[in-house]
Amino acid sequence: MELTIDRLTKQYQNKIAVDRISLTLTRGVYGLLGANGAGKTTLMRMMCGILRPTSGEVKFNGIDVNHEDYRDVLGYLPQYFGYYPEFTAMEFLCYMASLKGLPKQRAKEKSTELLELVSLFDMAKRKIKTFSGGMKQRLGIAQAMLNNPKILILDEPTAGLDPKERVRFRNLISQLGIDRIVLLSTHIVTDIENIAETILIMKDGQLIHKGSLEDIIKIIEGKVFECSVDSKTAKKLSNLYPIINLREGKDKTFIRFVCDENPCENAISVRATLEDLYLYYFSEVGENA
Amino acid sequence: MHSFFDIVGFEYKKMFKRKSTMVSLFLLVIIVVLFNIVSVTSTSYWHLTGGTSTFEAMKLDKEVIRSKAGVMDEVFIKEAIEQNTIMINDDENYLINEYGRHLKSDAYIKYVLPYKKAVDIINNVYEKNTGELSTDGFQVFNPGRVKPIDTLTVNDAKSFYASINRALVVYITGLANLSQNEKEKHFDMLSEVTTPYYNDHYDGYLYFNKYLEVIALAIMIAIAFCISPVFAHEYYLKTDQIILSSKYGKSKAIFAKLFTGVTFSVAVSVVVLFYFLLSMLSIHGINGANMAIQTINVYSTYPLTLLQASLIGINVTIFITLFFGILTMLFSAWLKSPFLVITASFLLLFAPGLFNVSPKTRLLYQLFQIFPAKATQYSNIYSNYLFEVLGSVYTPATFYIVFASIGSLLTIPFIKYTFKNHQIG
Ligand SMILES: Nc1ncnc2c1ncn2[C@@H]1O[C@H](COP(=O)(O)OP(=O)(O)OP(=O)(O)O)[C@@H](O)[C@H]1O
Ligand SMILES: [Mg+2]
Repeated sequence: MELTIDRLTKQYQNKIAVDRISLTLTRGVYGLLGANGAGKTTLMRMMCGILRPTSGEVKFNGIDVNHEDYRDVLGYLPQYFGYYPEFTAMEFLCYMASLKGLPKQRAKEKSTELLELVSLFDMAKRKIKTFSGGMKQRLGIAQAMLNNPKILILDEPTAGLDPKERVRFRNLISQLGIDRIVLLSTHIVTDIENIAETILIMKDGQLIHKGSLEDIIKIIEGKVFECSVDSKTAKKLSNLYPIINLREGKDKTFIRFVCDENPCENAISVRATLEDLYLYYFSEVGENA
Repeated sequence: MHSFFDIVGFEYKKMFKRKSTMVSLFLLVIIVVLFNIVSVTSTSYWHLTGGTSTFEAMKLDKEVIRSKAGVMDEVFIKEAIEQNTIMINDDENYLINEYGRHLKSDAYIKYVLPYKKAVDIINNVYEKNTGELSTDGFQVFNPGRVKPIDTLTVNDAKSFYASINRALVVYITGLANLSQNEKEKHFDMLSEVTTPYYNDHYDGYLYFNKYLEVIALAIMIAIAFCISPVFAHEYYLKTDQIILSSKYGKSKAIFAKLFTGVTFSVAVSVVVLFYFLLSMLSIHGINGANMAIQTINVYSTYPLTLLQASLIGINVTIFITLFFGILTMLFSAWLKSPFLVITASFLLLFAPGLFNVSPKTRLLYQLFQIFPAKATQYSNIYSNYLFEVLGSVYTPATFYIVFASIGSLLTIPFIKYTFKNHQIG
């Protein structure tokens, strides 16, 4: 099982949204991190065959992304997408199942099963227009899994989920990753931290890092510091280094920041997290002040 | 194949869950019923005097006409001329005042109405006194003027059909904008017209054909509202992404949409048109099926009965609405916004009506005749202007059906291509 992306590029009139990305994905969960506009959605659209790349190609076990056989093994949850407001959850899933080639009976069974999985079973007969944002999102997740896809591409799947559903979802994804390729994008770093075996970091259309959590965090290991200083020093530090956390106290300000070496004597080095790394990459120095 | 019809089922479900669909179909039914009523109320009946209701008057008129149902042979024409002569020679039948002689209704009912179809034909065919009414540029209003039939004697009955034929030949020969090939086609058709004609009450067929264009237009408007969202709504709802990334999203799903649009268009036309025909026949009477269409317009060369003409009208309308439906779906896949799609469909329906093209510029004239709202008009389906393609001449009905079929088939790949290649982002 191998999904290969070869020098994939998407150029809009005056903007390169995805810039020569090459990548090979095998079974497992991949977490795609990147700031707004980094090109995550654009990359995923091209991987789902709904956006023609300017150049480059996407193949699964040698099957081109534009082939029906590719779509047959694909499950996709788009970032923004719509539903038929007058359809019930069940009708919607059965419709999607028919588009994915499931026979009627099988479609019903599978839809019921998935509705249960995303805790929407009680809502099966309700019109989608009466659903909350998070419920719709869960229905979207269910829809992506109808055909038991080998490639599951989820664009911000946890957006709008409450903490309980988010935990359920994470567990679900970890299981799915056992015998599938799961690629999910998110802004919520903790969602990926716990489940993604491989983390991909995108910036300005390019893939700047790829590796396991440990590998990636190594980059800033020993460079994360915390200290409590007066507000003047805090201001000075935040102009110099990427700030991860800043909390104004009574007369002291607590800050957590990334820095190559300890800049002031009362700062202590702490364990780096993925969030530190994310902010290190994506926050412009000085913007938090 | 199973999954195909499953998808079609869902497409129908989407369509019927839209309020616009139900509203359009409801309005279509209202319009059909309205024209059922209009066909009764818009006519002035001879028996409509004093206390008689419209419906009663309609029935009485019909009884008088039906009393002479049968072959329009020499005996019949003789009788028509005879009765007319008796009528005009008796002043009792007229109301005479300083403005002239006015025929009384009961005299008309007695002497003319039973032979009305023949009398109308005679008055059309034997009219040679076109100059009589104008004197030195003055129009003289002369209600008691001599009608062609008034000048005939029973001996003229023998030459009734020959006179029709002669008048038609003169008429066709004199049409300035017809090619020689077209004229020959007309003469061919003319030679196939069966004589003698039948005489009967034909209002069911008459009003069906008269209002066919309105009903066809109403059908197409309803179709536009019902199927313009077929593709456009997917873009609008942003469901396009999940459809296009699904296994059959770029193949079966598109054909299922097309199939839905096509079957819906055809089903609506078939049901509405046959309902309209049957309702008109049950309101006005089922008689007149075997009457020649010349009894409606004597200057027609088409060798058809009213039943045949009506069925051809239905056929043409079905094919035209089918093509219209397919074009609506092309707009739907291509223009994306449901509003633009409806606008484009309406332009297709109504824009040709804004222009008055003279048949002198035949190519342009014929181009306009192909537009859906025109192609479903009785006057265009049985027009004098035929279609000449590669040296062969075809009647408009044949041309419309072939044109709509070929057009539909050629449009389908474009629709598929457009939706399939729709880019997200
Ligand atoms: N149709 C388009 N025309 C022009 N530029 C576009 C188009 N679609 C996207 N872009 C640009 O491409 C870049 C990448 O956009 P994309 O939606 O892939 O980002 P993203 O990483 O998914 O962001 P987000 O986290 O906000 O979802 C952005 O700069 C965006 O402005
Ligand atoms: Mg995005």
